[in-house]
Amino acid sequence: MLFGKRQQVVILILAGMLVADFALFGYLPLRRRMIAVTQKRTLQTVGIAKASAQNAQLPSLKEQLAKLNRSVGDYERQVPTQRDLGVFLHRIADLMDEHNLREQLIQPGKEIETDDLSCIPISMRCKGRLTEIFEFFNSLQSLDRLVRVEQIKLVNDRFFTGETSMETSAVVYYRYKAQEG
Amino acid sequence: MKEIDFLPSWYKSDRRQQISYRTQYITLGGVFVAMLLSNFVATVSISRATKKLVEDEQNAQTAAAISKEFNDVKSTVTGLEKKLNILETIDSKIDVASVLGELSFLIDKKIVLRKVELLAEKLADWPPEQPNRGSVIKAANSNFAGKKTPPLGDVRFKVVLNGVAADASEVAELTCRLEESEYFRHVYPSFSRSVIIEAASNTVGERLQATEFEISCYLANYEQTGAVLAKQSQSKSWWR
Repeated sequence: MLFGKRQQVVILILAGMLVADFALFGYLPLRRRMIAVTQKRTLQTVGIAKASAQNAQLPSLKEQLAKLNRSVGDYERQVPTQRDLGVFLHRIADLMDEHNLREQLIQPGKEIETDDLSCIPISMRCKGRLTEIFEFFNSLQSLDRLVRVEQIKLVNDRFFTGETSMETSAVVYYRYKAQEG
Repeated sequence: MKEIDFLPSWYKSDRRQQISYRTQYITLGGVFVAMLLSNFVATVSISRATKKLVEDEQNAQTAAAISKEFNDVKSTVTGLEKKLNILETIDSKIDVASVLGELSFLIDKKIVLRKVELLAEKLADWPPEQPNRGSVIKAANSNFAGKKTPPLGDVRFKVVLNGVAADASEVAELTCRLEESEYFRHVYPSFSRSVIIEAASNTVGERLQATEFEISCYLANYEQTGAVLAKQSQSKSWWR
């Protein structure tokens, strides 16, 4: 009878050890590894799928980039980060000289500041033939720095000899260094 | 007939217990085998997943490179879009030389211009403020308190042509040409009147009969969107 009871206890201990061994050294570590591998696999699959979709979009995005590059051009020169007003005014005077325009007056106005840019109004006056003024504007628009024309007034002389006086209000811009794009 | 059981009860009880233990051992053994099988299956499954993971590692690296390139290009595009936005805001989009060229082409020899004026009007400012409507106080300076509007945003150019023509029909013809030109729109003759002008001459100022005129129009380099048109119609209804 005593032997029988001991045998039952041994069976129960064996069963307990078996379950504990399976749980601690079999099931739990395997489950942990399985979760880790599944997570890695999911991430990998999502990454590959995402990259595949991005790869399909990449040619059009590159095309858009090329188009934007063409549209933007040399942004650093068009809207510099420094005022460089002296250089610009000198260049305008040179252009006027190049096109034989006389009685030159180039006058910068008071700067207007916005969130991203500083605007410098510039008033330009000169006299010359219409063809010379035409050439001047041609050159003005091909300058590296972007010039926004606000107003142009061309007035013929009293006797209509073709001598024209030109008055132009324009604006040039520069960026603040902190908000450099 | 009655059967007589000669086996003692302790023997039968012992026998039952032996069978019970054996059953328990067998069950334990079965559970152990099941556990082993389960472990084996799980291990195989994990090793297969790991193998697949390693196999796709090359693809994952390629995918990561593609993603990086995509993100780089996208951030560059975003930056360029911002720059383009700034340029669009700055540029008044007028090719002065071309406008002057077109005007020279359209204006006949019998017309001499006295004044050509190109004036930028902000599209957002439409309609222009009506001076002194219903108000007794009038601001002498529109930039009162130093609040200057920054010269940014979309504009349209008003072109005012002032000059003299040999006769009124030349003015009418110029108006028609301006209307037909793709460079101009909304052509309005402001006035046209007969005048005596003094022309340059070698000896004395020659006096000639001519027609003085003024024509205003807009450069056709802008498009009014629905929002602007809605704003216009709303403003017009306020004026009535």
